[in-house]
Parts: sequence; structure tokens; C-alpha cells
Amino acid sequence: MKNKINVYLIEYAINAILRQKSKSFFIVFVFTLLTFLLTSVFFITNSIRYELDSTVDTLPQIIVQKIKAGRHYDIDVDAVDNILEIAGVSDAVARVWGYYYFANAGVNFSVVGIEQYENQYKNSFDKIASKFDLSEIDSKVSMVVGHGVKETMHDSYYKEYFNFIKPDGTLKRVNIAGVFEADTQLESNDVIVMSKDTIREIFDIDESKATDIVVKVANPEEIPMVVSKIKLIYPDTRIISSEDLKVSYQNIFDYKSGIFLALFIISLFTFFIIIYDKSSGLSSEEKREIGILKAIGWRVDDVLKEKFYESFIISFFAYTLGVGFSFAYVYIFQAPILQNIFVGYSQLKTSFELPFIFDLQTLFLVFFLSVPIYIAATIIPSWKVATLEADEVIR
Amino acid sequence: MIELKNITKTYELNKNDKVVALDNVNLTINEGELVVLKGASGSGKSTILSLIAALSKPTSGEVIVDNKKISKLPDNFASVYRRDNIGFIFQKYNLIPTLSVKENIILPLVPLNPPANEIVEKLDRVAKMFNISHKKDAIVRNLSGGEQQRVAIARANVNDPKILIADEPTANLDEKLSLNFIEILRELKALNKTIVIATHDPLFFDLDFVDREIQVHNGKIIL
Amino acid sequence: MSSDLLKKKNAFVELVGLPDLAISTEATYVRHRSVSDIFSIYKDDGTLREYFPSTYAISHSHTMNLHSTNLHAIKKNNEK
Ligand SMILES: Nc1ncnc2c1ncn2[C@@H]1O[C@H](COP(=O)(O)OP(=O)(O)OP(=O)(O)O)[C@@H](O)[C@H]1O
Ligand SMILES: [Mg+2]
Repeated sequence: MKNKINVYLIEYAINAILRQKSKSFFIVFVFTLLTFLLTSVFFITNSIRYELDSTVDTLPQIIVQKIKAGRHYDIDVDAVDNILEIAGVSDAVARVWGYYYFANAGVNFSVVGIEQYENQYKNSFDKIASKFDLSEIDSKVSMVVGHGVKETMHDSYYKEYFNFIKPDGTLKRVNIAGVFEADTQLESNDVIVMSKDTIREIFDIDESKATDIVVKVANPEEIPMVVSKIKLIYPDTRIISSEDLKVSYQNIFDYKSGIFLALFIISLFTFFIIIYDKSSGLSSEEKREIGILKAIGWRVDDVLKEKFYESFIISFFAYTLGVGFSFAYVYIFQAPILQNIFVGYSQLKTSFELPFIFDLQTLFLVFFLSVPIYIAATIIPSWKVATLEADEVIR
Repeated sequence: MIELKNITKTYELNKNDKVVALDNVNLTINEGELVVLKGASGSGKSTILSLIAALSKPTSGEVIVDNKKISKLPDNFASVYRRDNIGFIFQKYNLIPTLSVKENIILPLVPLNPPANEIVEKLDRVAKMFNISHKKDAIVRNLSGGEQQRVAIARANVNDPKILIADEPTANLDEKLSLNFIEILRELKALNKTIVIATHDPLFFDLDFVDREIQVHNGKIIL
Repeated sequence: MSSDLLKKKNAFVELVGLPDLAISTEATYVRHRSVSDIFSIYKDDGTLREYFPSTYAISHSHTMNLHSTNLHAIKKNNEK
């Protein structure tokens, strides 16, 4: 009989919850909201981090930037030759890329240069770009744009081509030869890919200069060694290795940054108001009820068991409800509003599918942040009352 | 069966002020006896009852029930003692107003986790006995005073305790219901229970089935 | 994410070679956060210019000023 679950006690606990309808409803509401917010935020950030991690291994192994006066500065293309001479380096390429502000729409584009359309690029364009016209690329000055770029240009009536404004104020007309497929938006939305020559012309970058240099190392083990050698030859550079990128991806959402803090504080605040309210003492009816139960022969642990069931049922119910809602909200409805907090209300709207990740760790974390605290907050004041002399309580 | 030995009970109101509720009380109640405690308000009757039920502990002295020192029991054992031995009918009934009649009556059984049929049996027995069967599913808050008292009596008897205690059982009842209670009392006495009643209601004086009347005055028993 | 889509995304990243996602394009230090320098967060304003709300949620890269970490790497390598 000792080990059997006491259904009457559970029944009593459920009854106790149902008896105080408005109070229980309020607690479930706040609790559900809290778990919903927390899990939604975790789900979204997990998805974004997953998105980042899924392409991190494709990124360049080493990126070399020149830093002058603390700022990123154009690097000499000659450096490529010196870097290529370092043992272990299998390839080094000077890149040209930049940030183009389209004042008409108030939008920034990321313009990336590639070597003239070589065959290898043609293959990859076939894979990732739609409405892609090869013949045009060969005959005219042209570019492949991200989905968001296309939309923005369309809104300004640029359908076939776009006029870039060069530093000297003259225009450079570039043909739109293709659009990156919409399902890669999260990576490609604001990107424009064109030949290096065209970029140099648009940004007025000299042939001898480049934005940065990417280096390939045959043996990944040797990356730190290569990094330090480059650093010795060019002390004025900043070198970002693939390891650094991974670190950077890992801490994209650090828990100190603004909205997180705000969210956390507000949620915790609400939560602790409830807890404060509970632990600052039971209502006289609640006290009396405990006194009565003791007077008719309930032991302290019977009372506490009942309170445990009561708080566990209500908090676990609310937790499950909150997690369920947030699953639906994030993965079925794609987290409207909340998603914008993470991808921004930029002029260039990115719409993307949050990849589904079942992350047990998040569920555990949110569980332990909420349910046990609530149970403790219920049991401790009850325990205080239950250990008083019954006579005092029901007098 | 019940023995109070040199019982003193004082309540500390604050550091300098205390009330002596009982002052060196000695009392013995035999098995099957029905005892009525009489006395003015504040004389200490309720205090005696709660000491017998181990709801509170004496400041000094001993309470012995069935050769056990009740006054020394740790809290959890006191609960078990109450559960197994005591049926207490409180002055304010002390029912849980938002629960149904049935739920209130079976409340003392809940921690025991008995089989379902046992609960039904015990419930039916006392509900019938105290004439509350027809209201089993009513919420206690909606019952009349007399009905609430019958629920309280039923709850006190659901465990079939050896000792029944009633504190001012007729204080909230009109005369007809009070007489009704006295009839119930007669039946309980016939079941050979030890019964202790605190009251200043004259209806209880000089009843044929009352074994003893004890006068309490200013925390002392007057013989 | 389907493996097909994953392949596409990786093909794109390989072509372009730029890290980070195309979100918050108005803030360079978010759009190109892993390759931004320490000044890019002050580029638009003398104080840290926030682009609410994404810059509240997404922190700038902690590898922004890599001078020190690189020097550390050199030291480590020389010790070897
Ligand atoms: N918890 C308490 N704190 C302080 N004083 C108390 C407490 N309980 C009882 N008293 C005091 O002890 C004395 C005896 O109280 P008790 O309740 O036993 O009297 P009673 O005879 O039952 O009176 P009544 O007929 O009014 O119920 C009273 O003076 C009362 O004020
Ligand atoms: Mg009294």
C-alpha cells in the first residue's frame, strides 16, 4: 500500500485546482506565456544557429584582411604571391566585394565579385539560380541577384538591368542575368554576384587592390601555422580562420544582449511576482484548509504530497501547453513577429523557413527554469503552515 | 482511558502578557463514558478538548490516552493518533466549503489510500446514519447549518473512532435541531463510544444518558 | 532542412565565400558580423548605432578585433 499511487490524493489535488478557477487560470496563463516565450526564443535561435552551422564548413579556411587605423582597408593584390609561397598553402585568391547602398530604396546590397564566368561557376549557377540566361552573361555586363535584391529593383522599375552609381557620379548599367533561388534567401537575399572587373569599376577599386584574400590550406591541421606565418609577413592584417568563424557563429546570440535581457527580465519578473505572492504567505482560507486536514488526521507529508501534486499538475500542464504552442508557433506558423526580432525589420525582407530541430536540451532547460521553482514556491509556504500546531491554524 | 495529569496550559500573548487557560487540571474519563464539560465562555473547555485530540500540547503535565502519552507525540504521530482514534466535531464544523458532502466526509480516509469499495462502504454507512445520504453530491457551502453539522458528524465518524469530541455542538442550531443532535448523541453513546462534549447549552444538563457533568471555571475543574 | 536545400545553400556559400546570414542588412556589423572590424559598429554613428530590434538580439562578433587572438596564435606556434 505504501508504494501504490494514491489516486484520492491526486483527485483531491485536481479538485483543489478546479475549485479556484480564476486563480488557477491566471497561473496557467502566465506560466504558459512564460514557457511559450522562452521556448519560442530558444527554438528560433537554435534554428538560426543550425542554419549557420550547416554551411560553416564550406566557408573559406582563412580570410586575410588589412587593417589600417583600426579599419578594414584594401589589401595589395601582390600579397597573394607571397602568401602562395608559404608551405602548406594550396591556393590564395584576392577577392573584391562590398556594400552598395541603393539610396532610392534605402537598402544595402552585398556585392560580391567572382572571376569572369568560368565553367565551374556556370555549373553552380545552374544549381542555385533560376531564370538564368547563359548567353546573356557572355555577351553583356551582367549579374546574378538575390531574391530580395530582385524585388527591390523591381519596385524601382529596374526589371532587366540596374544602374549603379559610380563614385564619380556616372552610371554603370548592369544586366540582371539571373536570380538566386528563393529558398536560399537567408544566405542570398541581399547578394549581388558579378564579375570582379565590374565591381572594380562600380566601387572604383584599383587593379592592384582587393577587399581581402582567401587562403586554402591543404591540411586543415596546418591552418594555425599558416595564420601565424601570414601574420609575420603582414603584421597589419587581421586573419580570420574557419575556427574563428565557428566561434563567431556560436556566440551570435549571447545572453547579455539587449532584447534577451529584456525578455528574460520581464518574464522572470512576472514569474517572481507570482512566486513572491505565493511565498509571502497563503491566504487565510488556504491556511485554514491545511489546518483542517491536519486536524482530521493528515500528516505533514500527506499535506505536502497533495501540494506537490497540485503544483506539479498545474505547472506541468502549463509547461506542456507553452511548449506545444511554441512548437506550433515557431515551426508551423514560422514565428510571426518574434522572427523579426532576429532577422530584423530591414527594408530587405527575408522570408525563410525555420529548420525544424528537436532540441531536448532547450526543453529541459525551460523545464528546470520553471516547474521546480513553482513547485518549491507552493510547497515551502504550505510546509510552514503545516508544521504549525493545528489548533493555532483553525482557531 | 483518557487521563489528564496536572495539566497547565498558558498562551503567550506577548513577552509580558500571558493567559493561563488551564491551571493544574486533573481529569479521568473512562471508556464508554459520556462526559459534558460545562462552564462560562473562556473558562478553558475548548482547550481541554484540543489537548485530548493532540491538536495542541500542554505547557506542563501529561495527557494519556490508552496508556499512551499523547502530549509527547511528535507532530506526525499526533496526526496518525487523531486519524485512528479521534472524531472531532468542531464548533465551526471546519468543513471545506467548496467541496461536496461526499468529498468532505471521506477526507480523513484519503491519506490511507484504501480500496474504492471500502471508501464507498464507509461513506454510505455514516451518510445513512446521520441522514445526509440525499445530499451526498451537494456542495457544503450551499447547505443549511443543521445539514453542515450532520456532515461534520459524519466526517468525525467515518473512521469509526473510539473517542468522539464535540465543541459547542448546538451553538449554531435552533432548538429543534439541537434536540435532534441530542438524539444522535444517544445513538452514538449506544455504540459504546467515549464521548466528550463542551457546552454551556442547558439542554445538555440532566440528560439520562450523560454519565458525568464537569464544571470548568477559570481554567480549573470544580468538583 | 532537406538535403537538397542543404546542397544548394552550400553551393551558394561556396560561390560567394562570405559568412553570416542576409539578415539585418542595414547593419554591416550584423550582416557581415564575422568579418567586420571594430569600427563598423561605430560607422554610422559616434556611439554604437542600434538597428532595433535585430541588433538587440544578435550580438556583434566577439572576434571583431582579432589582433590579440592572432598574436596569441603566433606565440603558441613559436613555442612549438
Ligand atoms: N491561541 C490562543 N492564544 C491566546 N489565548 C488563547 C488561545 N486559545 C485560547 N486562549 C485563551 O484561553 C482561555 C480559554 O479558552 P477556551 O477557548 O478554552 O475557552 P472556552 O471555555 O472554550 O470558551 P468558549 O465557551 O467561549 O468557547 C481564554 O481566555 C482564551 O482567550
Ligand atoms: Mg470553546
